[in-house]
Amino acid sequence: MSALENMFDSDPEEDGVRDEAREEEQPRQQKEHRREDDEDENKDILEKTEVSGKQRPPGDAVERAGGEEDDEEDANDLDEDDEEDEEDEEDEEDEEDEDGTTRRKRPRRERRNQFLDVEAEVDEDEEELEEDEDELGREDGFIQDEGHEGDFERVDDRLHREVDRQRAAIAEADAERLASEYREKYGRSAASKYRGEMNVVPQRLLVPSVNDPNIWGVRCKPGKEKAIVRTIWRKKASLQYSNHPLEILSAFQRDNFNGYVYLEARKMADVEYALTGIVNVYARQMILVPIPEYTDLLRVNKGSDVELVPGSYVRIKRGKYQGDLAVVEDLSENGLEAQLKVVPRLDYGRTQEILGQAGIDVKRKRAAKLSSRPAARLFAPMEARMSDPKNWQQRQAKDNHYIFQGEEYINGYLIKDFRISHLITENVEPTLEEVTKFSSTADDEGIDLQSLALSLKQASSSGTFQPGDHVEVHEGEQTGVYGRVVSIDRDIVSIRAETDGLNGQLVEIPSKSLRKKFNQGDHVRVIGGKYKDETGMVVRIKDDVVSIIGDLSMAEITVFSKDLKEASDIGGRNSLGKYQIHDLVQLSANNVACIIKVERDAFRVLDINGNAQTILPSAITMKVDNKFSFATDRNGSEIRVGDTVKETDGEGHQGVILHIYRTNAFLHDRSQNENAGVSLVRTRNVTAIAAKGGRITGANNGPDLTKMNPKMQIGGNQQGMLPPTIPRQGGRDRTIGQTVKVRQGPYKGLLGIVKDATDAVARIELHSKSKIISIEKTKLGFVDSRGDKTVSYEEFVTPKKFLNGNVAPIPQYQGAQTPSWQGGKTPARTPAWASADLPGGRTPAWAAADGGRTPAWSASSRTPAWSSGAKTPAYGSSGNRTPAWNPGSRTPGRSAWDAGGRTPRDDSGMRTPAWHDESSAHTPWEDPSYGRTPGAAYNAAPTPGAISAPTPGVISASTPGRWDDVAIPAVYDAKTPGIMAAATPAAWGDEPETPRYAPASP
Amino acid sequence: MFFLKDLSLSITLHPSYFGPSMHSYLRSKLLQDVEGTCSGEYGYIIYVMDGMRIDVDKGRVIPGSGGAEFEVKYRAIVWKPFKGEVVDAVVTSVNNIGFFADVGPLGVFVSTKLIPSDMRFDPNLNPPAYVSEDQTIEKGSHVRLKIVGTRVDVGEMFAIGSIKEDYLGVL
Repeated sequence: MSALENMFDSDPEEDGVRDEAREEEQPRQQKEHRREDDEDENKDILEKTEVSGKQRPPGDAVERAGGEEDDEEDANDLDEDDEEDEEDEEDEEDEEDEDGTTRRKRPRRERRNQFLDVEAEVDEDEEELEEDEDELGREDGFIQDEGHEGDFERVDDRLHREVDRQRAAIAEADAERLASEYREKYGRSAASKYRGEMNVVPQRLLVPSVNDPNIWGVRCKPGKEKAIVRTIWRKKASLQYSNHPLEILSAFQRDNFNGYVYLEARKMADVEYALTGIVNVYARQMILVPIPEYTDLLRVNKGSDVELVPGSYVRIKRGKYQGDLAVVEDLSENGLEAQLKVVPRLDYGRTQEILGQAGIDVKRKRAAKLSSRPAARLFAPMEARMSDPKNWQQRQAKDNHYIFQGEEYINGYLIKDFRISHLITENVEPTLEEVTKFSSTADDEGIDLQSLALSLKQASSSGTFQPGDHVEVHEGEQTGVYGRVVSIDRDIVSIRAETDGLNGQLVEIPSKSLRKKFNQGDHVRVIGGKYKDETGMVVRIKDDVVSIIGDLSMAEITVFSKDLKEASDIGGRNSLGKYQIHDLVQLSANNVACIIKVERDAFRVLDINGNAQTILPSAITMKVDNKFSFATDRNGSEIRVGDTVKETDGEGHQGVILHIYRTNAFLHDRSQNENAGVSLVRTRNVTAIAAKGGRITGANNGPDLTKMNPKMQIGGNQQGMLPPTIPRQGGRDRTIGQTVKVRQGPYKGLLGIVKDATDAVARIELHSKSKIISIEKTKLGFVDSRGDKTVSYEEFVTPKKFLNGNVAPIPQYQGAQTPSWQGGKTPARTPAWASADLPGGRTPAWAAADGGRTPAWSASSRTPAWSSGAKTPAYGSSGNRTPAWNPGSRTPGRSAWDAGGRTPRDDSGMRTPAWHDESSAHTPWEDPSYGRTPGAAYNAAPTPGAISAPTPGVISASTPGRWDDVAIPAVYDAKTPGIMAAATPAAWGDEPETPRYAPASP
Repeated sequence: MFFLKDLSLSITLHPSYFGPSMHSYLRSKLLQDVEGTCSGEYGYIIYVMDGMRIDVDKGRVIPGSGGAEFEVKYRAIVWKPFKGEVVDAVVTSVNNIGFFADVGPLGVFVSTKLIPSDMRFDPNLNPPAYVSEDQTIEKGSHVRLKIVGTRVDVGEMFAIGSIKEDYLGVL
């Protein structure tokens, strides 16, 4: 008994490292072993349990139902046992550890049988010694033989021989018997004796066979595995001497296999019996573990060893400092604990106060602890003293060394021992922010780069480098060598050196002594961490820490060089989902915003109220597409997206227009720091500086390239390209009753008679089919009176009019006219034409026109044609044409510009100097105030593009005010030739019918 | 650094421009398209030389569209900033992370890290400025700086500069 206890007590000191071989063979051996010892030992342990007066702590994950073993749960665990349920979670961790040790116990015991004195004593004390004694006697037959001795002396030689024979027989028989006896008796020891040699035996020979008990895996509620194992253990113990003991050999669970408990038994019925009445276990879902999988099931997961050294970074798994970064200060000798330096999370009694006031039991602090965790900050001695002076004490030896509530604070950091099993040592990946907390000063100079690099390297030993990376050796004998990575083989990186001595050589370096090398001005992309996907230019390099200026944000960010990669592209993360940086997005019915920054999963936007806010992509209703929106600036010039504008008041923002939304514009200016360079301005407060692509704006009268296109000049307007419109005429439609031929469409070629007609459509009774169809007049060919040819509708209508002497304006002309056109034209033209001495009257007007017009106009080749005598009479003879000319348009025209327009017409002689004076006095082309209006009006007239949309606006808006102005004649005069030029050559001058026209007009 | 560079550009012309003034149109179109632009290869095209001696080839009508393509050869002054080049610049804006300056068309940013440590940003001055005992960098100041890195965006370039060396700084 005492020996057993000794053995268990000594357990923790036993080194846990056992070879896996034993782990795997253990089930079989144990089972054999167990069958032998079961009964004796069960008895012992049960006795012991009773003596201790309470249930044994069932801390073990793997517990032998037979109770062969025990564990070394410490006192704490015993206490906590009562509140098992509450503490479950916390215990799990402990159990994990002990799990390991427990598993190791079985083989350990066996080994001890051989080598330890304690075991030997125990064996002697107990049954084996007795057996031995018995057997010793039997072996030699010593005692018996002594009895026979006397007989030998008394009887004769025959007896001697008899005895000899007997002896020989006995000896012969004994040899066999002994062998079997010994085998039976020391079989176990013999097996363990073999062990040493069997280490070389392949492990597959040691795996369990079909003769061994089976292992059943039973589904249970995840998380309850350990509790269930404990319950089974208790059940086994309590039923051991009842009529129905549990026939299971072991019960255990594995952390790797969540939601299963495993029972080892001979029969499935035994397992079912063991599980009846146990909650949270689903005995129906039972699987028999295949024998080959036993080893996998029981394999020890060796954690990849990360060697902790003072200075390395770890994270704390649980408790108040869960997830916090800590620095290893020291390691305990047994390697189970580490002294850590942590930024303390103290609230200096505030929570307690609050809880006290609220009447909550301070002892039930669990809930409070979870709900609010004090922020991590350095220890504040004074605050601590105020809150709990009794537990505050300053170490005299060092100034900045305090003990507060039983814990030690040095230089503001908490120095505390933690179990290593409660620490995360892998993939710590400290962020720069966390690390800076550990630096003594706020500046990053204080970062312990050595240790940082160490833990970072541990975290990502190989993945960091890629072939082609520029790297530098920062430790070891090759320090200072740099080059490009050629290949990577696990932790060994081959680099092509670029330093002088080794130029071009291939050097193999462990990756932990390498770091990426960058130069000032390199364009890089961040590939990890908080700033992932930002790009920027390197401005400073200090060992492992690189500062870059972001391309888009223009802000300085500092990252580890391992997180950087050389990049040629820009921006990186400027889109998220379907939205991009600088997109205009709809937030609500009356709020839009411009995306100014794209973060990992959110957008930073500047909304139409000027507020910058962070929103989720889901908050965006839609993207607003207004690429073609435009507005007018404070000078009335047109501004469009892409123009550069400047705010005239307010903050004086300047930049390129990203978006125009109602009366607001979003500008972008790279040199602005605020809101990533995006600002919101009112369009009325900005002036255009430069238009995108040199587009002509009101303020910026650049050369109009369309002027260079002569076609545009001549055409005057794009209606010239359209088929001429047919004038409306009064009276009966002349087409009615005509014989026509369909020239287009499905009825092409058919003859018919026009029965009825509207402006554009005729109804035709076909000759061939008795059918009346409706067809456009232009698709008809009119069979002329002689019947030998068909003429088009246009021809049919037009010449007839001339022949009829029906004086009417030229169709194109009138059709093209808009009221404002006619108004503008008439007075200007009339004087010019009406004046008797054409050259005198017109010359100044021409001169003015020439001056103002673009060079293209100065193709004065037209002027001679203009004043050609041939044509003039035709025009001049319009004495009685004039009334017919503008019967409709004159009245508005007159009223519009009064006598100003007409006077020159009457006395042309007077007009010329006046004109001259006025135009020179005002110099409309130079004076800015006029300069624009005539320019606009002037440009507007001949430019087809302009005429389409803005011109009418311009004319109607600006003219009335200036109509009476003296400058008007110049303005309109200037235009006149343009119009006439447009109209005349095309309509009149080139028209072969003009001669015919002249006689017709009177 | 400035270079004299022979370049060419192909211009596509709409048939309505074909006529006596076609060449002058091509010339003005060339100037408009090319002057002041920036490419990563050559940097900024500052000026097209010899405006009258621009070589326009005969042109080729593009099948299917009626337009014609002209190869226009010209000689231009280009300016490309290089890493390590020392240039003079005019400061355009100053803020707490550094200052921006213009070198002609090129915008340069000088980070605080690349400003001598004795120059401190003083936001209370009007205008805000970097000041040391004998120097002040504010908006409009003329500085001499060294380009430490350039970046080519579409249609423009950008550079990072440094004044943290001897003989650099306010002029």
